[in-house]
Amino acid sequence: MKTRKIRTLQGRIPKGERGPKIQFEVDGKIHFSYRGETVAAALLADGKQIFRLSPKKQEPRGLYCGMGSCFECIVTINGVPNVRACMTPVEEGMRVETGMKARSKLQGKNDETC
Amino acid sequence: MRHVEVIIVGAGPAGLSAAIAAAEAGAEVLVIDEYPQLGGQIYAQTPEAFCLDAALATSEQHQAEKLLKKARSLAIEFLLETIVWGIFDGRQLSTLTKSKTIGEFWAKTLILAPGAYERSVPFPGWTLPGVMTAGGLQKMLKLQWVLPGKSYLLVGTGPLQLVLASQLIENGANVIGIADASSWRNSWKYIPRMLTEPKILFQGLKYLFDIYKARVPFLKSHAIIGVEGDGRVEGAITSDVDEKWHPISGTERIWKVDTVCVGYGFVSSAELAALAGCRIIYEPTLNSWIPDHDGNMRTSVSSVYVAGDGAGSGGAVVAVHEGYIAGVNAAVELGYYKEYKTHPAASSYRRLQCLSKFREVMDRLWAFKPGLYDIVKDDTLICRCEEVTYGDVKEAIADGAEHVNQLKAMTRAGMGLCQGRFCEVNIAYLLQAATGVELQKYTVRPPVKPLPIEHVIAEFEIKSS
Repeated sequence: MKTRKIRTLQGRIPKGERGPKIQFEVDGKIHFSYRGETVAAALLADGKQIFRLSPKKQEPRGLYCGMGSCFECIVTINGVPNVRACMTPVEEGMRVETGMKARSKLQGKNDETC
Repeated sequence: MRHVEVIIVGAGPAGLSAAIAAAEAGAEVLVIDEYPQLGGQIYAQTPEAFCLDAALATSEQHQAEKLLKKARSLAIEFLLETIVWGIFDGRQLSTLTKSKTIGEFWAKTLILAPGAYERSVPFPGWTLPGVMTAGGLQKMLKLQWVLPGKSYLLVGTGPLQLVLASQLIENGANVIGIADASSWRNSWKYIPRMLTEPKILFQGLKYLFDIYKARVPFLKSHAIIGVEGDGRVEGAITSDVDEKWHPISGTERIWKVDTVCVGYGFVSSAELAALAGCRIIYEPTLNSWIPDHDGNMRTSVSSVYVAGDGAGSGGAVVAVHEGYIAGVNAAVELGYYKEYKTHPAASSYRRLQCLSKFREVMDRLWAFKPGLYDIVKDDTLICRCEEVTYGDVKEAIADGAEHVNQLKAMTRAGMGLCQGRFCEVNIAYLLQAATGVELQKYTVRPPVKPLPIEHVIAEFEIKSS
């Protein structure tokens, strides 16, 4: 009997033709994506699972419902906070800030005041 | 304020089908949806910029294409990327467009087809990145062609787990196991009723065969009891559960995995119907609150109809027929279809009648059992948005809370960004277990989805000047 080979694919899978390649920014670093991809898909395809930190306990959060209901995947896009990554298509030159950057900023501030 | 003969909220299978029925009769139809594309969730299309190889499209995508083509060929107006955040005086809708402008509409007849969201049961670690709903992962895979993890553990209950497992395997993902909490003991007695829908049954068997062929462990009466990891999922613990879904200690299994997909069936999105003033009832077979409705999809409020998963989760096929019935009845109410020999929706009524047997079996096979709440620990978050733990909820109950609204006021559970969508049923169950009161529902108030306050204020300034 032929044994099935299990592949461990991660990231983008070949299924058809994606939109044109575009460039955008995540926490100040250049990332690539394809037109039509959501911010959530682009982040996950690059292995970024942590989208933000919860406001009270500062615990990491990522994509949960994937359909715009739970608001777990909110990030800051072009300076606008609380935008759902799962509902927003990536655009050329878009600036995305995850909550991880907010934490490092916050910690920096704390260090200064101490 | 614009007056429209038929306004439909939701452009999924139910909403589109309702729009087609009403437009065919000659009514003026406006469909409002939050998404940029038509199709809702199950009939969602790949992004416009993507070019899907037709051979790789799923049967659902083919069915969706047929419905979309029909809808586009008729005089139906679509208002996409627009949220309906409030309903006032029964049928007055307040909307917010993507460009953040507030709109107001008066619907002569209103059809609500908002769909459903996935039932989540809290367990230790369920907020870690890497835990996502089965539907969320399916969308990522089907529409975005992205696999977010290296290995997948599917937990929960219901047919979606089987569909997702089959799709993951087909796309080369490493599915390490499936844990379904329901038991198939005595399920043989359902076989005659399942044979009433041979096509659906065959599809289900195909999914099971895919899982078997890929040698993926498929465990019944088995549920997740926790995940662990530093900053993201690194491992999961599952255990056997009894008939009532109480975990059985000593049967734990440990999995090394980075993505856990959870889904315990669906909860109807009833908040818009509640705002419209419709009577909301608890449907025990679905374990969900639904807008009370008759066979013509009429709610308790005149000229307000419901259809699809938002009227009680039943899947896309049921949604299409319910939508058609709602659309035809709205058109009849408006004076269209004055004379007819056979009712224009006769075939939909018949089809729903046939499907009801199969639906009943599905609901029974995968019925949710609250024994699973045993896995909730004191420090487990119940409300993800406001970070309220079970301990906080217990404290509020000890302080005298007897209603979910009191719990909400005392702990802030349900006040966050998701507006209680993911904690409501869980809080209601936990309160019932602790105090014996019946299952309750949060009071729904507008806005049902968060909206930036500056846009509402700006709108009022324009009006006063």
